[in-house]
Amino acid sequence: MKTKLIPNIVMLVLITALASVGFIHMFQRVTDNVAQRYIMALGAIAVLGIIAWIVVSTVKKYANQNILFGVILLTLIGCIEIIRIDYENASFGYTSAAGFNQLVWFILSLVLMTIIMVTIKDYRIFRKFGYLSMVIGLILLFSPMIPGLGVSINGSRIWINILGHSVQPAEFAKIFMAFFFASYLFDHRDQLAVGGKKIGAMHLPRLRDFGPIIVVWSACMGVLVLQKDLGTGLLFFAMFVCMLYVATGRISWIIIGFIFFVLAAFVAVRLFSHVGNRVEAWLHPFDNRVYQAVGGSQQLVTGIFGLASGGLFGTGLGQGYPALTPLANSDFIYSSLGEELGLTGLFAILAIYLAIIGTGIVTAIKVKDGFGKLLASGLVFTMAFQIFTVVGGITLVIPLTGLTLPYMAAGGSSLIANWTVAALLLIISHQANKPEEDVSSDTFAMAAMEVINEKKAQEQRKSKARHASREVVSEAIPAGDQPTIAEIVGDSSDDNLDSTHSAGSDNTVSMHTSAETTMLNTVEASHAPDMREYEPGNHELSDSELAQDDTRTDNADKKLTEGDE
Amino acid sequence: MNRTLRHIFYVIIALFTLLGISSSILTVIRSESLNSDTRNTRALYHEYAQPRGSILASDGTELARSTESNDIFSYQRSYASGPVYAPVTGYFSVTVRADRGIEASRNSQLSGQSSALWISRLHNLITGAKDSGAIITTSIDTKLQNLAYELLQQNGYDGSVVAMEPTTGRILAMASTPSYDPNALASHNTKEVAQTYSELVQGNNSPLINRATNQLYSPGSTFKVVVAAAALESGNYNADSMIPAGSGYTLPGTSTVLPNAVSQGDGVNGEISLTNALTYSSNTAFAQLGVALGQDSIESMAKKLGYGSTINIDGSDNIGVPMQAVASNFPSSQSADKLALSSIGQSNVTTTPLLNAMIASTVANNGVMLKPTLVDTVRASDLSVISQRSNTVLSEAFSANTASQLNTMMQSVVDNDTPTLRMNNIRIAAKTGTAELGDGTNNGWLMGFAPADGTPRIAISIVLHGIRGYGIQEAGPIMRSLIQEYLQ
Repeated sequence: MKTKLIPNIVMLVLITALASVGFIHMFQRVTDNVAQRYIMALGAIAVLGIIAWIVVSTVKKYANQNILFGVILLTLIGCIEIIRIDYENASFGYTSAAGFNQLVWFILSLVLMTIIMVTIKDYRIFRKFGYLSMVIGLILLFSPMIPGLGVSINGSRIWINILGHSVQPAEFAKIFMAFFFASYLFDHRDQLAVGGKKIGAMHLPRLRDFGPIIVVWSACMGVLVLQKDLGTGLLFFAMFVCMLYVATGRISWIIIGFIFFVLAAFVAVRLFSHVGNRVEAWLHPFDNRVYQAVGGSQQLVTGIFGLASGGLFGTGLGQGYPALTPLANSDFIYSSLGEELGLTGLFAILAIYLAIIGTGIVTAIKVKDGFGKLLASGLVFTMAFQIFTVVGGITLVIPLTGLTLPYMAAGGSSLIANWTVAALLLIISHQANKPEEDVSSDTFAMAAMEVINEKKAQEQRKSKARHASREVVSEAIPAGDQPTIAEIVGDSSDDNLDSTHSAGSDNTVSMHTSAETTMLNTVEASHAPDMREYEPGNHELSDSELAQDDTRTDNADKKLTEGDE
Repeated sequence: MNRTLRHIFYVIIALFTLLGISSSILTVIRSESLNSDTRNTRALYHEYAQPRGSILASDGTELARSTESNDIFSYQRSYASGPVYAPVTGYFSVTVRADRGIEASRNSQLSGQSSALWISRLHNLITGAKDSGAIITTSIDTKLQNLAYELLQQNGYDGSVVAMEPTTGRILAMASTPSYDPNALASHNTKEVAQTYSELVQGNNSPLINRATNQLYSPGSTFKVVVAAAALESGNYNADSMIPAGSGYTLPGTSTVLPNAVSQGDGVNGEISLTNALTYSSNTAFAQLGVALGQDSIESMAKKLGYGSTINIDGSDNIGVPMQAVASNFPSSQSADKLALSSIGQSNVTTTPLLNAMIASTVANNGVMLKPTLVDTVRASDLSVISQRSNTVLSEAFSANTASQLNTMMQSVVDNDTPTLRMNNIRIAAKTGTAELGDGTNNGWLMGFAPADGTPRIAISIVLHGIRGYGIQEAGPIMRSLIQEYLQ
């Protein structure tokens, strides 16, 4: 794939123009003199934005930059509306500085993006830290429960207080859990894909494979019970179920996940008045009794009135009354935008989200290793699901939750976390689009080196090495060519093809997994059934695994190519 | 895995489609009902935040305008000569928003939210200009309106004057006293407004009520024009037909004797010509004529002349609360004695000043009753015309021949019975009326048009409630002044 320099520059210019018009419009209508700090911050954003773009264009030159453009545009639109709401608050007599703060967080996000672009060479590094990610993710997820740290806002305990700032740790937990799920599912999808009992046309999973989903479900239930927030629990559970489906291709997991969730939601509605209220507000928002009730539908309905007053084209920036809705700049940014930009604006925003998500899915389809596919799709689906939960909550599709709209809602933690997601997607996109010959030459050299190193290590460790495997390796390396994995693996790959899988795409998925296994088996000269039982911290080995993921699919050997594409 | 990835993307697209639909429902499809929800304070702020269109008199004088104010409501509505034009303009307040008059009937156009104004809204969205409401030009003649109000106000009358153009139905003046000042209700101080409003509502003289359209009065002798029209249309009578009269008429089935106001109404030998019966407002003649014509004949003529139906003056449900005149009443199925009384505009017959002006106009306009209108032109803020009035026929009440005979008979009223109305160079056709209220006071009526011998240019209806004397004595000078003002 060739880099598209000119179209990208055009996009960048368009975004700058659009944002400029937006900011000028907004400032013109809400104030007579724009505060210096806004100008300075916007200047910094322009400079850092261009730097970030240049860095992405050079360091990650194959990345699909639509992701970057999309999130920049969304963040800018969000900033415009947040600043505008600050001004409206001022007209009502309150002071709020969420808009300037958001600009500062945007600056930090751009810096973070640049740093991630430069420092992280390969997303597959995260696969090594699957379980560590899980631990970090869970700590973050449950951190609001730590006394003295957690803060309860609007009945939900999903915030922690750091130096006077409220941070929603779930936003960061999202990323770590995605790492964990991706690496875990990539390693275990074979087992999880195995069918158990058949009911109708559907294969139920084996009963013993229910373990992971029950663990995740319990954790999400824990979040729900402890933090009294339907949204966060739902988000993580949806992420897991989605990735489980991507990994195994089994609809049954989705259905089971759905049943589990409905169960949990039902319990939550019964158990917590706070969640029950939200369901009630969702079912009868305009009922005056519900409207007047404490924790009733007033906020939701006020937001809806905002949407209604927006109509098709909106009131125009600075001409609505978004601040009448509580949390207009965070939880209800969607209705604030709907009020001032109208249905047209909302469709444009949804379209930008869909463009980012679509690019993410295409990236997941293009990228060649399963971990990347799972990670990209997990991150992207979570983003989509979060948007659905927030917008659906505001527009009466589902009950309201405590989640906020990615990139647009006021709040530093959310912005930083979601920009990190965008950075990860850019990296995966870069590697997915990287021309093949590059990949194979790089990784093959690496793969070969790994194999040699591994071999040497084994020779040192083990007194008797298997003759055959040494032959394979020593034949391959001195030749100096670009050997294929098949050559390295040799004929034994066929012999080692696991036959536990049934026909269909599941079979092909498992084929290459077993092929990897075979290769490692060959190298390690052992036929242990589960190759993932390596010692943690054995870097040579796991690096070689990474390399194999690449080489596997680059391989010309038809037997080893993925069959479902 | 790519197959499952595609499935995931389909799911995402489905979810987003759902969001698109739900967003559309709330922003566009249900927006109207949501915006009119009483709990929606936004709609109020919005209505105030943009300059509301002006309401103009026919000569361009601003009757109502919005000027920028430095408070949360952004714009202040103000009314020039508020009490004079209150029946026309209505008012716009923070507590009840647009109420009464053009403010209510053209609300969505004035506020700029009318669907007819979407192009200008889109334009403003792009250019960043503020939306502003449509400009409403009324048919009100400022001189006539001011004079009418002044003449009513200076004598402390409780009454109303309606003047309209007979050939079009355009309302030239619509005054009602006692009146109120819309400016007091347009204040941004909610407490003050509430105070003013409760004062206006609590008084027993109801200044908020537009007497021209929303107050029913017994029409008295002015109703004789309707009975005369029914007689002429029946084909059995003409202007010279001799009909039974006499100095007294015992109402059928009762011992109540109905007298005449003036002896000329008694006729000669118990008979009087139809023309003279109307000229001298003979009660005995019209009571007997009514009984002779019968309930159906009179009721059908009354219906053709607008009795029994509310009359739309301006607006429609799409753009606000239509301005309507309440339905005048002619009782159906009544005993002969009641029919006799109804025929002279007593009993349960009631009418509005507007309807009488319309009846006078119908006589002037060859028997064709036109819909009364108050708005000539609606313009967008860039002055492009959005809509323009046109004549609408309400009914063809009677033939041109009947109209011409009625015209002559009504001129005879001015020539022979009410010399005070006579003018040197203008022929006037009129009919007086004095309905007794039973407490020693009367509703004094006068309706007529001029010039009666050429193209009629103005039809006038006047009611003065609770006066001591006859209609002609007190309303006569008002009509004379108005005709003089308008035609000279």
